[in-house]
Amino acid sequence: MSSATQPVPRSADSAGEGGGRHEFLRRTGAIVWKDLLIEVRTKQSFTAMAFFAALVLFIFSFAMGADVRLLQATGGGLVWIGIAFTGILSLSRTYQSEELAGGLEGLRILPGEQRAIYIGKLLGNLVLLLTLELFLFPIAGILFQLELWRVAAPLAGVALLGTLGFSIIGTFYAALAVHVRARELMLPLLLFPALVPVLLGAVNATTLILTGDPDGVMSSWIRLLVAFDVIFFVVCTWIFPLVLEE
Amino acid sequence: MTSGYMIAGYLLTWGAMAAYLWRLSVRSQHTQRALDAERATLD
Amino acid sequence: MAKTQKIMGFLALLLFIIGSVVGLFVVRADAAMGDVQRLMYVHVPAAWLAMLAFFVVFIMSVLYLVQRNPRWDLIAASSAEVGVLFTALTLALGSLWGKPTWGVWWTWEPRLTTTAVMLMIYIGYLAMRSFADDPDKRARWSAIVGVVGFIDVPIVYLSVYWWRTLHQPPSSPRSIAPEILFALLLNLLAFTVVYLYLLVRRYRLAVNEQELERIVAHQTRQISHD
Repeated sequence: MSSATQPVPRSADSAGEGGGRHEFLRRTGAIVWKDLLIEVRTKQSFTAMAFFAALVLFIFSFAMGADVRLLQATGGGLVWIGIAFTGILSLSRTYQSEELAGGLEGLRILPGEQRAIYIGKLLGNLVLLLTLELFLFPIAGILFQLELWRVAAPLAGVALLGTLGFSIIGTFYAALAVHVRARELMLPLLLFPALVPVLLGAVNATTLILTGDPDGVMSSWIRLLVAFDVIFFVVCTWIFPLVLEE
Repeated sequence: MTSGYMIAGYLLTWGAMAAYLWRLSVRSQHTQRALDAERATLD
Repeated sequence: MAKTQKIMGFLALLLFIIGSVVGLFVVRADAAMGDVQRLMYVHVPAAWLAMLAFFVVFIMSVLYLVQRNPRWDLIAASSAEVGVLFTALTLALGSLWGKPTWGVWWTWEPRLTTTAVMLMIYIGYLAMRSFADDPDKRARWSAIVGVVGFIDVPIVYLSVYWWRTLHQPPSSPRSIAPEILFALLLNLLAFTVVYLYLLVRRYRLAVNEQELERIVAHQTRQISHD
């Protein structure tokens, strides 16, 4: 087994689950920090992704035509499709550094630490996507004639919940897809159907924020997003060691 | 005209079941033959 | 075993024929919708069996992850394939019913939309299997997809239901006449036996295919050792 770089710094005492929650948080934090550092140092991929996202939105506005009311009505949905497509790109690279170091299975570690990897990767993806959205939403605002500034706070909340759902299930399926052939095909194939509730929740909530909520149905969508996030966070974290099993 | 849709639906149902069953039979025969051939070379 | 299978096959065929005959000729046509309503006798059972098939995938996936017995995995895979068949059929029949009834080939009706998403989830399951070569890993990964995918289905249904009905009042359910209920239940029984028969046959094929795969892999290893 190649002893390449160990992505998780090993403590001197690594017998047993070592230090409980504190250790767990430390390892999670270490992974997030390491991935973010890599991302910051190879800034070109972030820039490329931001550019790709803008390009997707740009093409959407071509497809939708010049009708401002149509753009404003559908803009909330289109921005989330842009996030999803761009997100897939970042997801597919989630485990790249581990792969280069000799494969995910090379990490002969305890289930607790494997879960730390999952949560760490999840948070890394979340932060990356949220940062991308800081660019994406204003661009969408320009292209689709959306008034974003006065609703920035609720919009940020919805963006967080939706992106979290995307990251939770996306990071999980990315780990699965990494192991099989045609992974660029398998990840979207697995992810998009599972993402339907998140997309519906995020798109509808965003559209309601932008165009008004006469029937007061916003809370239903928020509850849906929260329920999805909680349920799948628990399920995916719990099952993750099974994905990495030797 | 509505009966046309109904007929199409029932034909589709029957056809789908039959087609799948037929495909299962073909694959089963094919696999059985391959198995017999492999087992013969083992002995 | 082969004899039981043959009996099951004949029973399935018999029930299927009786079900269709009853649905097409014995029961009266619906007063409002006419003959098209008879499609319900195949569409609804197909939908229920699609659901049952994927529930079986879920149970077998959980069992496999716990016990690691390959048999559970093969039953899961077989049920997934038969389930995809029933799901696709459900959607097609739904379209055929929808066109004369509502004038459109497709509506975003909650159950229909959820069925479409289910189809995609389980096609993903089958695709996952076809792209994985190692039998143990294939079994484990598809079991994971089977579990997570099934958990997603009720959430998908809820989200689509809210999407379609939050602004619109839900349609009031009509009461069902006894003879319609009878035809429905009869076809449901027929479809269930058909499902079981197809499952058994698909499972036996899966067992043989895995045996073949094992022998070929063994021989390949032997050749590379020489």
